[in-house]
Amino acid sequence: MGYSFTCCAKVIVQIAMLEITLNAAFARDEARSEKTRGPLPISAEPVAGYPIPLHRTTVPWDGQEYDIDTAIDVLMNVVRDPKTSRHDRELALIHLTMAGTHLRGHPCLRELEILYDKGGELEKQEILLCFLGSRDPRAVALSSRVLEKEQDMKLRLTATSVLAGWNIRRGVAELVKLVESQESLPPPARMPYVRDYALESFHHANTRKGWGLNDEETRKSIEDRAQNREEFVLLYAVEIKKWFAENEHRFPDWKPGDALPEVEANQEKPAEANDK
Amino acid sequence: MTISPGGAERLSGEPAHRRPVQRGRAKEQGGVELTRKSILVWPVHTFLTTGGAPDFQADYNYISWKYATVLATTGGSFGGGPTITTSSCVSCPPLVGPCVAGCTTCVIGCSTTFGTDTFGGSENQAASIIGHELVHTTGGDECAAYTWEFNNHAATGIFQCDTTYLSDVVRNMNCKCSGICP
Repeated sequence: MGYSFTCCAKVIVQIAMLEITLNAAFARDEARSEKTRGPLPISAEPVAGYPIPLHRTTVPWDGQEYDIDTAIDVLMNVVRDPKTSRHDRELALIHLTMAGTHLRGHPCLRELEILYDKGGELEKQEILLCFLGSRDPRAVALSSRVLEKEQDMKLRLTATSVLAGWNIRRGVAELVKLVESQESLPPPARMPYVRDYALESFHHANTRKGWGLNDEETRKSIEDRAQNREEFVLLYAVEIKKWFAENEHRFPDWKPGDALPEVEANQEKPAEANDK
Repeated sequence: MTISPGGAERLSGEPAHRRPVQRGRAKEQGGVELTRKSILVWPVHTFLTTGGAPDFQADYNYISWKYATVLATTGGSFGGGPTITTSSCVSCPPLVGPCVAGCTTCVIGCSTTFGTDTFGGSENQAASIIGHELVHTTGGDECAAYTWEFNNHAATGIFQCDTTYLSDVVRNMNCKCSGICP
């Protein structure tokens, strides 16, 4: 009796332990699936744990190296000077993109927004890239306007990437459409095809934002079926479309006029270059 | 093909049939025209060939000769090649899909392949792409490769003549080095 009682008690304890273990595992799975299947916020921040490289602490200009805040002032002086040639304004804007998140909440973004409408194609491109790097929510409104108005594919690609980087549904939908594009870009372009930029952009956003498409598994699942690179890309695009059809509802449907997260001035200090 | 620093002295004199056909706009600083570092040749192969199919190997030899000093600053060399394909671009594993002008893979040793797009633009662009791939042969990652392109802009002349290409380089540098990716 004593033996069978001990035995029964042991079995009951084991069952209870097993249940606790299973419940914990189930809870972990739930949390994981909530991360990869739950609704996504309007945010440009990377998913927790995503490795962020060191940000620049200086920006070069005209043979000198400036700390970023000084560089923004110097470059904006060049940009706003009416005597500046288009070529030099383009160069200044290219350098301004290196300021990254230091542009968040900076008054110069308002100036750049106004300049966008007057700018040439490359100036517009660089202004969009400044907004992209800034992680300032005003990037969403500007990019949305670009998608409404612009026909230029380079500008549309950048605006699409910005919106997708903020998890905006329209941006992700446009990006998914572009992975099947047959259009090419005029030289010089390191990657001549629109779809390649779209694929690269999707890959970055998917891993950085934790959208949940398993790149490795997807690649393995189509490797055997593809006879060549062209087929591989087509099959990959099909997988992305399938994934988006299942996940579209997770992305916020932002429209012009809708509220955006509050603009906060960048609090990062140069000493905290790594924004992990 | 190994690019040696010994090619420096050859840069001063160009063969008559390889004289520039088009010049980029001069850049001024403080009212003084800066020494022109670059010469636009658009596209390279039409300059080098007289009809018939473009000879991209000749383009490569010409550019690597002309820019020997610049390219040698990377400290790398292409082992047993590189290969130049007749395709406009080449795929570059492990990326999914992208077709790029040049690619170096270092799985077993390093092998480099250039597509004809490498030579479809200016000499500066071609030299920049070749230099970029050379950085990979020394084990440099994408950040190092794009940073090299950016830091060597004075020598490759990108600033003066190819603002759009410079924009592409900085965009890639921002992405690979600082995580600012479109």
